[in-house]
Amino acid sequence: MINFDRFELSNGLKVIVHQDKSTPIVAMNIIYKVGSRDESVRRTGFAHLFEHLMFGGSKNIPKFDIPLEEAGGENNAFTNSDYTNYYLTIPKNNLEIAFWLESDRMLDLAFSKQSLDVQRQVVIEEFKQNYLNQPLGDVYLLLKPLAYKKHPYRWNTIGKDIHHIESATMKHVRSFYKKYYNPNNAILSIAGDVEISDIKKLAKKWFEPIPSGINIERNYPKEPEQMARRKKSVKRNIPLDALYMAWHMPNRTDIGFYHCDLISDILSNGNSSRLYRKLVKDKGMFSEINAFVTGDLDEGLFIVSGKVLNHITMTKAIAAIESELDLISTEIVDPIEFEKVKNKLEANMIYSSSSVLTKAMNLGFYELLGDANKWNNELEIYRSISREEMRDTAKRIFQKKNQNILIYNKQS
Amino acid sequence: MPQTGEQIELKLTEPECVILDNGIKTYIINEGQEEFSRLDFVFNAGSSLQAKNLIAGSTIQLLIDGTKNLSSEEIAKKLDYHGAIVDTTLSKDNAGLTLYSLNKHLPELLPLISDMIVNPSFPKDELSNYLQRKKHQFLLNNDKVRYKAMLEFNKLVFGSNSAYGRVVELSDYDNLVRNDLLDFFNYYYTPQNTYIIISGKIDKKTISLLNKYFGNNSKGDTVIPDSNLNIVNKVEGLNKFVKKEGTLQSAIRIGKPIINKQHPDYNSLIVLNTVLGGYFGSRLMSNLRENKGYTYGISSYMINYKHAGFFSIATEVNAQHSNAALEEIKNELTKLCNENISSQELNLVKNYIYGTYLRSFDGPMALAERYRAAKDLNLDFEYYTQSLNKMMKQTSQQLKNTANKYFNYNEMIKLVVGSMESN
Repeated sequence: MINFDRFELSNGLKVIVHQDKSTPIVAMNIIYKVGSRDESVRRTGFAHLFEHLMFGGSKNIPKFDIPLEEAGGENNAFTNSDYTNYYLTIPKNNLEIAFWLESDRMLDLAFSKQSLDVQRQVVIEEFKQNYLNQPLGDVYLLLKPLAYKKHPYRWNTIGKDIHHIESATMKHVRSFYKKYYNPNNAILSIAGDVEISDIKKLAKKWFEPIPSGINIERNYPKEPEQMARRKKSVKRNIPLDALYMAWHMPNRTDIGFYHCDLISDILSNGNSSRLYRKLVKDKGMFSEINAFVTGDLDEGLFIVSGKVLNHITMTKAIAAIESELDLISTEIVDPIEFEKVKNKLEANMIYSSSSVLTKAMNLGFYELLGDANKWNNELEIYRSISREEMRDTAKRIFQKKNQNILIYNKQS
Repeated sequence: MPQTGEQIELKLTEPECVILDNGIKTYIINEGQEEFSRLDFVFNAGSSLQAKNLIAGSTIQLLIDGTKNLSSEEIAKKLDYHGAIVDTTLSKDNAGLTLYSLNKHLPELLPLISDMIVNPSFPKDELSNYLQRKKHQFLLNNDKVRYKAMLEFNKLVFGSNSAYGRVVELSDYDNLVRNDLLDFFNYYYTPQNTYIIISGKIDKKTISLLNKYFGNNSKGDTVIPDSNLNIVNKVEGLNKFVKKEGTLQSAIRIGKPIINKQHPDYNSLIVLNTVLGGYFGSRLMSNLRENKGYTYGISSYMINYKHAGFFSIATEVNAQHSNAALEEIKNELTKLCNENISSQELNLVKNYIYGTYLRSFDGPMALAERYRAAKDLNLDFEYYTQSLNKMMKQTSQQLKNTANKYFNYNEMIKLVVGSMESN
């Protein structure tokens, strides 16, 4: 059970505070509700490019990192399809520095042409390093447009095309900031040895003067139900054929998400999981295999990926996976196996509440889902699921017509 | 801008040491808030001790794949059912098995772990399955310039025929047999060659459980390190270029062998290295990423093993900027040798290091991690607090002297994997 306080400033900024007296380090997390799903199809990769620009100087602070490092702090950020997350940790007696820094870049950025030019180049190198210059780096660049035809999840967070980044202008960047980087579009969460009354004072002092922005209406095009199986094959210079299978699944707050999460655990979480046990260990068909859910806020994907050993044909590999999916769609799992995945979830939840940073991040994320307290209820939701419900969801998800297959063939 | 506060003093309590009945030293870090523990079982059985490549790694990895009493699947089921996580680690000096568990499951899990590290059976088919998977991972990694550079640099800096310098090759995956593991296990995995760190929220009962399950096995003798072991050789050449066709980025490694942590200059080197490439705002990052956009990231670091260590700058750059990047790295090293670091920059770096220390000793899991790193080099927590104090006292003049002693570009190994063309 994680205790916290929550309040909202007059400009709409939501603030969540969790007290943990065991550590001299305080964690501060800010979520801006903007991700790659908010981008225009002609300017993809923008939310992520913007994350880089947020370190290029704000109204009163030429360089974000310097005063933070001077105060013994450290920070980083990430962007996904749904939101952009900035986080830092700092010794508790320097906490006000963090308020000063984060509020200044929420207030206004000091855009410079030089900063944009350089960050554009850095992002292009990131694109090359992580997506182009390594085997299988482009999986999601291929898989997402295969699975999605309408919803903006059809492009990857890094962008669908390197040229979109190359052609970003100051004007584009400014209007993006003005629209999304506002207190009413953000969630601030803090965990550490802090007093709620002090945080209230600091939040009022530093964040409340920031004017709110427009209210953002979110109407993402709904992905139409997939009516037929889709398949794509590519040839690459890789040692083993690789296989990615993806099925559309329910959104993050739907109970079906929790069913799918449990299904993925039964299939591939831990050395006793079904796919690992049968297809990697017993039958020796794959060198590795994984099943996981993307965890997106809107309707996401259930993915099974594997690397197929040389003596196994792709047809056999796919059939082996499908036969496991058939099994979980038709037969009720063993009660001990079911208890196992729930126990694992419980343990992981306790492990993850041992650091102030993961606590601040989780509280922010669940507030984004609608209520920070949902974190406390997660385990209960998983515990309440029945084996029959899980089977029924599996049956619904793993239909042939809902399936997308991406195959990487090795060059002979 | 708000004022920064006084630095909070880093206070570390040396872990209490309990000796189990068979002599295994157990270090206790009792600082947890939540009802779970981490147990590190550390064996003096690292890769530098193996007669053939892959023995040490396969031995530690296969502990989880079968005992005289349980199959690999039975072990996996028990661990998963109790929500336990088991990790294995391998360095040149040590091998380790780490268990994360809720305290309520320890009475079930400790006998299992004991069985794993006392009675492993190293099943033949598990070994061949493991080697096959590892071989494919190797093939996949070997296509990455970063991975190739890491192996190549290790050979250059320690000498490719030495215990520290040799690296894995494709054929190694076909040359290992079960007996290699058994011999290695019987020789090195003895109580005299083992220690335990337990961290988290710990009570007396857990300690007596440890003694019950890990304190009675007494086979084996103290291993006497082979004094003839050829740990490191001379550096094998300063310039090396490994061509890789069709790559968008080149991996660069610049570095050299470096002094160990006990050396009086080491604290000065940490500060200097941080200025150069040890944090996000470092000179290398500012220059090559933030100003030139050659790379997504560049860093420098020092690695210490028991008998030797190295300093290295590592990056992947846009292939057409390989030469320009080398030139900028040279400039940054030269600048450290010729110019004093400004008091503002030095102050920032000291505060950054201080914050890093505070963070990396925060919480029982982090403490266990740091304590293990210290133990590997025969150090303790006091070393860290003293080291931090010494770093905070470094002057620009001292740092310039250190730079001139250790950061001469002409003495460094320069390795590029990828392409050098400037098109």
